[in-house]
Amino acid sequence: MRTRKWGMVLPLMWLVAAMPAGAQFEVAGRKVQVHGFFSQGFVLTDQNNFLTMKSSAGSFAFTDGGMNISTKLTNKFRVGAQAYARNIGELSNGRVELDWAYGDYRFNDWLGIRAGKVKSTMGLYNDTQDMEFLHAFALLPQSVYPTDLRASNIAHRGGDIYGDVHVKKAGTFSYVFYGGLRSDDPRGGYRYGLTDGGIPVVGSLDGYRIGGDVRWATPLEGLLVGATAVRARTELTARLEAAGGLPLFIQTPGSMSLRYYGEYQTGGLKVAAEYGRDYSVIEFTPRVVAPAQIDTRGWYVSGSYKFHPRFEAGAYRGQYVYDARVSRSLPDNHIDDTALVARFNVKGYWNVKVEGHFMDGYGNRAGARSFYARPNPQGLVPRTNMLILRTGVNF
Amino acid sequence: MKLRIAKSIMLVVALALPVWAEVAVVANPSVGASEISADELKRVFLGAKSSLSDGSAVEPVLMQSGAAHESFLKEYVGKTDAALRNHFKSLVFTGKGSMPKSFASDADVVAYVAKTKGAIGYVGNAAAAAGVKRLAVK
Repeated sequence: MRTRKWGMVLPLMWLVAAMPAGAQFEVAGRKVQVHGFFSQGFVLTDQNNFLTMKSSAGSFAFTDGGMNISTKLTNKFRVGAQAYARNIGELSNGRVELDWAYGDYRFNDWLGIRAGKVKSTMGLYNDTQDMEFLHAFALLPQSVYPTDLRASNIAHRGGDIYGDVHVKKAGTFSYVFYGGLRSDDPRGGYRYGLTDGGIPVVGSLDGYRIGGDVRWATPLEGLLVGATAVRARTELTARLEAAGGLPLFIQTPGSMSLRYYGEYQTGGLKVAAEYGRDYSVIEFTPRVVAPAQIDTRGWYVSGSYKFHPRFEAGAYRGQYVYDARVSRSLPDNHIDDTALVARFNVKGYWNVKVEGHFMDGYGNRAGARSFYARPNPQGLVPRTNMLILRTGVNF
Repeated sequence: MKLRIAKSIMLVVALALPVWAEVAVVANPSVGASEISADELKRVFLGAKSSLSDGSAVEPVLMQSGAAHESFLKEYVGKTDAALRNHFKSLVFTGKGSMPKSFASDADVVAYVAKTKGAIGYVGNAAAAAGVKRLAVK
């Protein structure tokens, strides 16, 4: 397994060194572009193991990478696809997946359509959460962008209708409305969390997502505000281990996710804030377990400043509450996280980040968020400090 | 004496100010328009617009660095070089756009724009612009 992983890393590193600006060539008179990225991290925690890694002993199981190819078939019609793989502790295990693959036809500025497997717009950074080089931080605030639930949020198989409405002195309003089948990762955190809770998933995880996002690039240069609403249905079959493996059909008939966000960039300064709410009712058939309502909240405020083209520093404060109807102070109902980062841009295509996290609480194991029971057989403790070293390249 | 002191002060102030190059916007002759609004120009160079209001298809071409590049970004795009490149990377890696071609010199930009249908770029105002048309920015 170790040899296989390095077998993937070395050609990628060579590729990046050989073409740091990506590759462009022509096929039948059309320009084709190839781009990629790769990152490797090291995670060390002083208490709980994080994200299914053996992080209390120091873990390098924090690897991801992707490569895409795209071209414009006409001035208005673009096609492309991206493959992506990651290995985060016990999650994903290097499985190569089709990250996105779609055709995009833009009629004009205010109307375009995309169809295929499309990245879901949800808040500021959902669709770019894998591209660490776009962000100051080694790890985005888990209160709003949980790495373990990436597969649940990252893309949909369906389509988007999108466009920009430019209102001269009032700035630009960008919208996207989408719908499609939800994505899944057989080795993702959602399934890992359910298995942790004694109800391992059997077969596929189905459902759909419909949503919309509207964002306003205000007349104040660099200030963006917006909101996303997504309604989703999830269906799966699991085994209830406490009842001798009784088959259990689980569904969330109409969960609702909301995001409100703002970002301001000027010069080297970037500040952002987001608030999210995920509300769902979980139903079980047969009714051996009563329907459960969960009202999850998360927010963060972040800031970073580029002191020099090669050096940037930043911080964020994030808070996750598994169920807002229960006391927030319980360690199994919240995770507060304060992070500090220093980012060094070695080259335009290569960065190194050093990040410290100071976390309080470990969340609910049913929430599939950061801390799980199986990697922590000794039990979870309320406070965990964490060091992340991460380096990434892109071309 | 007073005049000499005033001239010296003016020289010191002038040297302390950032130097912004005069920039010319150049386009392939296939682009029908002879002028472009600052707003349209910004949207073209953010990858949000692939045709002008007269229907001409356009493709932005960037410089890699230099005074003309810095001036253009500051005056028309409103982003730093790093922020603009990150913006295009976010489009490229989500499948929503392509990375524009970029060149090291005015001459390279002009040569590419001259031979590429729909290409639109920028160069220092003093650069030779054979084979391309200059667009006035409204």
